[in-house]
Amino acid sequence: MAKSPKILFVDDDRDFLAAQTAFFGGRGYEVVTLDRVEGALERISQERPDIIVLDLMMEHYDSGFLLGRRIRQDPAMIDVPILMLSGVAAATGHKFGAEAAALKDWIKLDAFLDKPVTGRQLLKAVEEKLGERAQAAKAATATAAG
Amino acid sequence: MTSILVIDDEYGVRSGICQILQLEGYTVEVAATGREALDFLDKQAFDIALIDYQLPDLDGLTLLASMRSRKLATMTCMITAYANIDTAIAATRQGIDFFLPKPFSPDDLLGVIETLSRHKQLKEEAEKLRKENEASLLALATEKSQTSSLVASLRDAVLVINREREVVLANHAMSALLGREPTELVRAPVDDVLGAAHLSGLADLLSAQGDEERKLAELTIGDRIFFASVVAFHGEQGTALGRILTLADVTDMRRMAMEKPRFIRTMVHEFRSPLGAIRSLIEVATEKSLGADLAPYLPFLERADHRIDKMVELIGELLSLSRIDLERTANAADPPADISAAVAATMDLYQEKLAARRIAARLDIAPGLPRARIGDDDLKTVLSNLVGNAVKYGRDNGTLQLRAALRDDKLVIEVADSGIGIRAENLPQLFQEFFREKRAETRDIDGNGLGLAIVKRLVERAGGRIDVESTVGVGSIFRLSLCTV
Repeated sequence: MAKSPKILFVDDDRDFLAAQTAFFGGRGYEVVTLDRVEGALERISQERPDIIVLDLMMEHYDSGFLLGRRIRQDPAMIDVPILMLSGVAAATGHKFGAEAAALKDWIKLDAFLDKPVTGRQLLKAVEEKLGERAQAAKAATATAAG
Repeated sequence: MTSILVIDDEYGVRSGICQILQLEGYTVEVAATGREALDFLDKQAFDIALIDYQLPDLDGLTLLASMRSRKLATMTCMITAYANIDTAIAATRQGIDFFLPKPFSPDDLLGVIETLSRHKQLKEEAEKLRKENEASLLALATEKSQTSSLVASLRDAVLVINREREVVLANHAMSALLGREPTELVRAPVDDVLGAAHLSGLADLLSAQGDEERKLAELTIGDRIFFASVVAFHGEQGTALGRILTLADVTDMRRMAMEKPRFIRTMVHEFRSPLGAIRSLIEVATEKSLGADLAPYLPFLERADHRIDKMVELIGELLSLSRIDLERTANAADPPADISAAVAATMDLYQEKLAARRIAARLDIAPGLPRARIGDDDLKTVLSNLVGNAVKYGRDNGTLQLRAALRDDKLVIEVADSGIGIRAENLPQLFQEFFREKRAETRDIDGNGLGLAIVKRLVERAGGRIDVESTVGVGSIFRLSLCTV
């Protein structure tokens, strides 16, 4: 990859953000972290990340969903992969799972990961999504060229 | 054995009668005067008294009147040689049972005695029956009143209807539920009584179609949840006489059942978040994200260590909460709290933290306060939570005021800070486990949302209460109201 991919985290846990900065930084990523929902939208459109990781529960139980929805409404961000982290999904069983599926569809979330997630799990998901996106971009270029 | 008293002033007559009767096996006593007769009657009960109309001291009618006033069960027969219609009428008015004119034959006498003994027996049997009847009526009335008191006192609502679908019984709980007077309900058609829309669940349960022996259902009336049961009751021949509806209010049980998963869900979140952070912090080191040198990892490991400390603290507070719930009532052996001592101990504990933030503490403790009806340790826990919050959510160079005074027999303790305050919409949840206000100002303040939940439970189990007033940006006042000893 010519340019290092930019990953943006929105999470209210600063220890988690510090750790991800070190972890993904060590893997050659450019890491941007935001510790609050307030002002996040503006920062995201300035930063133009290649991938976004959102925590579901910040100020409110659905802060992550609402932010995800609004990111998608920005035409420039329409196909940026969004990974959602949640501390409650596993605990709440299938009911939340069904709701989550509907919401995932609503926001066009790319993946849902349960906290506590390991950096390696997260890295795997991130690389997968970035890979898919690169493939899609290549295909689009090929189509345009052809 | 029939006992007879013969009252006649003529010796020949009374001894003659006595002999005839004794020969027949009767027990006989004789009296020559009215006075003597009354003495006998006062001493023993006679089945029959034969009374001469003419006595030396008083006449037969007066004797009869005296006997009547004594309410004796003795049957009476007047014997007189001067029988005339006036005497007969007068004697009958005094309650004479028989009239035997002199002279009479032994057979006449024995016939009268036999008749009177039979009357006596019949009268006694009638009396016995009357008494038995009265006793069983009394028992019945007692049982009825016991049953209705029992039904009235039930916490469950009870409604009984007959075959004609009329209400025959409704207790207080039921009439309160239906919003009608119990007297208004009796004999009212049940379909009218349960006509309102919010009672349609009950109407369905008691609908005319259903003739099952027993029906059970859970239904909601207003904001309460009830467990309903309908049972048919039968007469001796097995014919259905009506149905009994009972409603048990299970709202609190249901709410508690719903509260538990909510609590666990929140608790899981409270564990997962720090675990997620700790794992990522450690992973930085295990993945060697910052190179081979150890030094850059230390801040990450120190943060992980700090987060583990916080989790240990959380576990400790969860245990405190469950211990308080288990104990329910305050330990009676705990010495009652001395407020000024508890305040002094708490202020000592926070001296350094207050100084570090340059928060000026002002104490205003009324002198000679009585002891509070709360365990000494419990009050210290309460105060240190409140003062701790005042420091955590206070502002540098701010103030902390601690006031204690006696108001209307209650010990009122106020902890007032000049801190960031609490949003009005968050006040109702403030004492709920794990609740923390998520605001820009609170994000850097450590806390697990259990402190105030513990405070509230400790205060309430001691029979006290806690209130809070707060204005965002101005500060909060926590007010404890405790009973005195």
